[in-house]
Amino acid sequence: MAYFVRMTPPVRTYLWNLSGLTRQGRLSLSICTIGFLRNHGDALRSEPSRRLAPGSSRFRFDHLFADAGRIWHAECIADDSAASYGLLEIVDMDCHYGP
Amino acid sequence: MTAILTETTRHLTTQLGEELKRPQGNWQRRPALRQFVRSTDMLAEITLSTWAWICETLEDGGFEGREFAGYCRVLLEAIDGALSGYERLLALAAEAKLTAEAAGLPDLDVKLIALREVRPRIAEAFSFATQPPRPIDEKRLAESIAALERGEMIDCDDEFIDRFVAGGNI
Repeated sequence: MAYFVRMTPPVRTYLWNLSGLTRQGRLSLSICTIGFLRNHGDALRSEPSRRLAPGSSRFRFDHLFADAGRIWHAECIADDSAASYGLLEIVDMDCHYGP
Repeated sequence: MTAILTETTRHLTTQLGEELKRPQGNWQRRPALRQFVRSTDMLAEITLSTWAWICETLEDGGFEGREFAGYCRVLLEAIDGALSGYERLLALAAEAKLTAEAAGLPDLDVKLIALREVRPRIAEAFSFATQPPRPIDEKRLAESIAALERGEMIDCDDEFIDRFVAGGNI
């Protein structure tokens, strides 16, 4: 099922202030991260190894993409407390680049 | 597209691995040797095509982390399979008294040079994708949880995305 996705103001602020990305990269990061969660939320939620702790409502997922000649890795945390209402919420994001 | 490329790569890698285990004597027949060359060539071609597709997709939206790591793992196995197959092929061609040209090895050699070039990049990308998670910024997470509990959330709907794409604030 497709979920409705929301993010917290601190995550939005983080996205705004993240440096080193081109405008296209920032779009990619934002839109695709939301898209992964919206369209693949069930698969992500169903893997116990993604949970921050057993039984936690929070789970990790990652997004890898290329921008400005580098590969970027966005480590995201979502909360599925409201999943029964079709809602998934992004509560943290940490993005850094590699090779 | 994804499944076809990666599954074919995986299948050919397995097939090549099995071929490599065959007793040396079975390789004295030229048709068998040529088939081995074709398999290795195909594996190299598909591996390079898959890597090109992965690079394009990284530029055009990207991958979920584990999915990306899975593709890199398949490609690394394929490259190692093709390279070890090639080493064996050189010896087999000589045993079968087949020139390198007749066995199709020069064409294959070009692809294997390309595979040797991309392997370190794929290995580096794989290593990056499989690093342990970084420590959570507890302060930012606590602020987020507090906002969540207060119901201060931002809807990431089509309007949000349109506004972002148009260059406005999100």
